Amino acid sequence: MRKRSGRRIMIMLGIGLVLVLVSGRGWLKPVWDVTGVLLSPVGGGFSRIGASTANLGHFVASIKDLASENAKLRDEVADLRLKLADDAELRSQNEALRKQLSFGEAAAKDLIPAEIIAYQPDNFRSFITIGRGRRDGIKEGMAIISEGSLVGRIAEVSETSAKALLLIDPDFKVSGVDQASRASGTIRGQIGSGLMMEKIPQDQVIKPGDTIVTAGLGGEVPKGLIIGQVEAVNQKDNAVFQTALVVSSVKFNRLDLVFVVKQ
Amino acid sequence: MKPIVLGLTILLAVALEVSFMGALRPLGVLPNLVLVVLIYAGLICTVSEAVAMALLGGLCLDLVSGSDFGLRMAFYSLFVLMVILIKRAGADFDNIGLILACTVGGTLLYNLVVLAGLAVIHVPLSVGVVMSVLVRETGLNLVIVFLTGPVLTRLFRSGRQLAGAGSKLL
Repeated sequence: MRKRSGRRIMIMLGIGLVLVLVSGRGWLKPVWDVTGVLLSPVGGGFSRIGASTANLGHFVASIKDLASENAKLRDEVADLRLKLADDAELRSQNEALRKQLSFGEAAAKDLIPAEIIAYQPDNFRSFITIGRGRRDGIKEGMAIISEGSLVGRIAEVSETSAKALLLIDPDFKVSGVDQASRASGTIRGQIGSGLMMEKIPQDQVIKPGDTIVTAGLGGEVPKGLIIGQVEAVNQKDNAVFQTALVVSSVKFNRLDLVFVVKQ
Repeated sequence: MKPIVLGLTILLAVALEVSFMGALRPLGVLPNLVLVVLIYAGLICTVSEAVAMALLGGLCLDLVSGSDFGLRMAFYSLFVLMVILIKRAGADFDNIGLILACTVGGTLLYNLVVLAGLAVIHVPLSVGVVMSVLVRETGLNLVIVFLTGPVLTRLFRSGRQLAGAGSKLL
């Protein structure tokens, strides 16, 4: 009886090993396609329930701060309205100049909304699975945004779903530029939801409060997508580069709907 | 009948972990529901059943994960075999202390394996952040043991009794 059980276990472990080996050749893609089809409705439903529960809990916890947050948001809205008016003016000047210099029109961003159907099953890597795939026009390398800011990049695509690497994953890298001073560097994710901007040349100025956007180098992620704001700068005279701590406005632990940038 | 129940149990645990728990993130971390289910499976079910559940659960988690395919399948299979060895050493599945110890050990081991994968790609790790995540996740997993333990015990034990009755009839 024990020998039979031992043989069964060895067979099962052998099957497991074979599955790991064949996955490296991409032979498990059809299985993932089927998983995506099955997971989408179930995972989407569970995710929505989880997100609603989390939002309710967050709301209850934040009741006491509502009044002060309300006042702060009103000031921010007034400030943004002024900036929007300036932005409209700058946009029309930009279009006029483009026409005069015969530049092509700035490429419009086509956004595909996508629901998150699954999250990475551990606490140190940051991937999400979205319920959109190849049949919706999703391709590897496309950027994902939420609340107007960069959230990540598509890493793998199947027919009905796609996996995206989030900005806060320690393996995520994108070139970034300071919107004000044009100081450039590489944005890297860190465990603990923070972002680090590295390899900023010493002669370039970067200050806390500056907005960092994507530089669009390498052609993967379009330029101009907001990454976050500089919180602190680490500048040492004897170091080759500066580094800066960047904070994104996106609540990565409260993501439920994202947009894929299709250009 | 019983394989279907066990299969559905592990699949439900996977679906809840990657979607519901992933969206909810109590205390900002993802608790490990699959680990708790497999501990009970290792202590109550037969060896083949427990290993099959570990492989199925691990495979599904690997399919959803964006990194290190095969890591969860390998880890959970080996972990469930360790739990079975503990059971064979005379441990009783009613011993709550044992279950809690397995939960704490399993949580730490699983995260160690994930962190080892990060170290391979030369990612700097902040000890403070890692410890904070480990403490919170361990606490949540222990809460899950208390919440789901009676249900899982009843489910796996009734399945065992049914299987025994079925084989007697045959």
